[in-house]
Amino acid sequence: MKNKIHIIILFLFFCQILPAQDFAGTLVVNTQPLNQPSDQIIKEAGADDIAEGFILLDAATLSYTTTEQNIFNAAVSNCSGNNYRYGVYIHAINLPVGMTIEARLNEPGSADLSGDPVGGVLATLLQGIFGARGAYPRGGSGEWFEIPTNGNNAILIYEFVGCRQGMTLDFRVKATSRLGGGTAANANLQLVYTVRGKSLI
Amino acid sequence: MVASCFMGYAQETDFTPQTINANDPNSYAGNASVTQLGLTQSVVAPPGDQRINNPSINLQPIQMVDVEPEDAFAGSSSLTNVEAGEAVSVGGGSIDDSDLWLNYTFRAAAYENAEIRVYSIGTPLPAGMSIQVQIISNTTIESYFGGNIANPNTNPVSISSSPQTLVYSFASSYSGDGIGTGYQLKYTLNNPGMENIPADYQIIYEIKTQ
Repeated sequence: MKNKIHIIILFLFFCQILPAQDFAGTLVVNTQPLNQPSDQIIKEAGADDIAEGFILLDAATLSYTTTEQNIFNAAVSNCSGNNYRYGVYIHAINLPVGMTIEARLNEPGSADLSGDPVGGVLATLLQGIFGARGAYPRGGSGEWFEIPTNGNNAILIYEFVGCRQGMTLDFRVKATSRLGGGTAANANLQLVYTVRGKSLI
Repeated sequence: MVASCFMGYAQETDFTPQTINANDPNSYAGNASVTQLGLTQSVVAPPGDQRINNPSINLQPIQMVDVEPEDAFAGSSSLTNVEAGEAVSVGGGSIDDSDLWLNYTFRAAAYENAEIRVYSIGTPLPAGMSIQVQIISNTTIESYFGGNIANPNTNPVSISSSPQTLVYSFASSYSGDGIGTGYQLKYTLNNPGMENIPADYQIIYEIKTQ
């Protein structure tokens, strides 16, 4: 009987802290202009610039917060109660033929515990259960992933745990010399960032 | 809320799945619906969010031209100590007609076209001496939209201080790098007085936007 009570308590505990619907996540993405540096072009006449490519560090900054119910069942914005592990997926729309964009996580940013009602104690407890809050590059640090043009196969770039802010992405752009310069060739380009949460248990 | 317990999600390992259908949030929810312990629940939407960003990518214009092999000519070429009846020599080495290939890479600032011109700088050639350059063959050069845009001027061009067109109008493109790609050049030296080419005489190739 005592074991059954423990199981019921545990069941109710997880039911409360892992709501599955009406999950109001908010992703904010700020992207710097991706200007090709003058020293990052081909060095040899006749070569295609797509062979060189250029890298822009910390070109996009991502922050993610969510309104959720915490373990006290209080419907407040409380990132300290957020216990999901999130995947960050990207795909491109209207990417010109002859241009590729690769991305990787650079700065992991910092945890957002703005709503922690008990001064970090709750966050510490949840880290012990669900793993450390942080941002983790797929494939290890420094690996590039090419952003696809098909939204049916948006690609995972990195994962993070809990609400975070200040996560930055590096981009590597490779464009054929056949594309016109300036911004004209990619004026309609869109990058779609999709954050998908999943259970850690 | 009760139906939204953790059992509604399939357990996943780190860094999985590696791709999702971002066009359909329901397709990447942990589970569309599950039944466990007699409870059936639906996952209306997964936790997360989606944002569309319009990045501005600004590509550098490129204008690069040279003559291969590079130890013979490098952008601007310097012909020295050429005597009538001898092969054109640069840096002490002989050059056969078939050795020289003009390579270029051109990316317009926007969509403008360009041409390649040739002219000389430095002390003019002695009276009676002349140098001609001619494109005797070329490889296919494609534009962004396909089609051959090589557009060579196949007539001999007598080099002077006035720029003359060697390759007619072309769009952003590249010729390929090295011998055997781009435009094959032939030089003809006319030197009836057996004079020396001035030491500072140089032949310049340039890409000029139109």
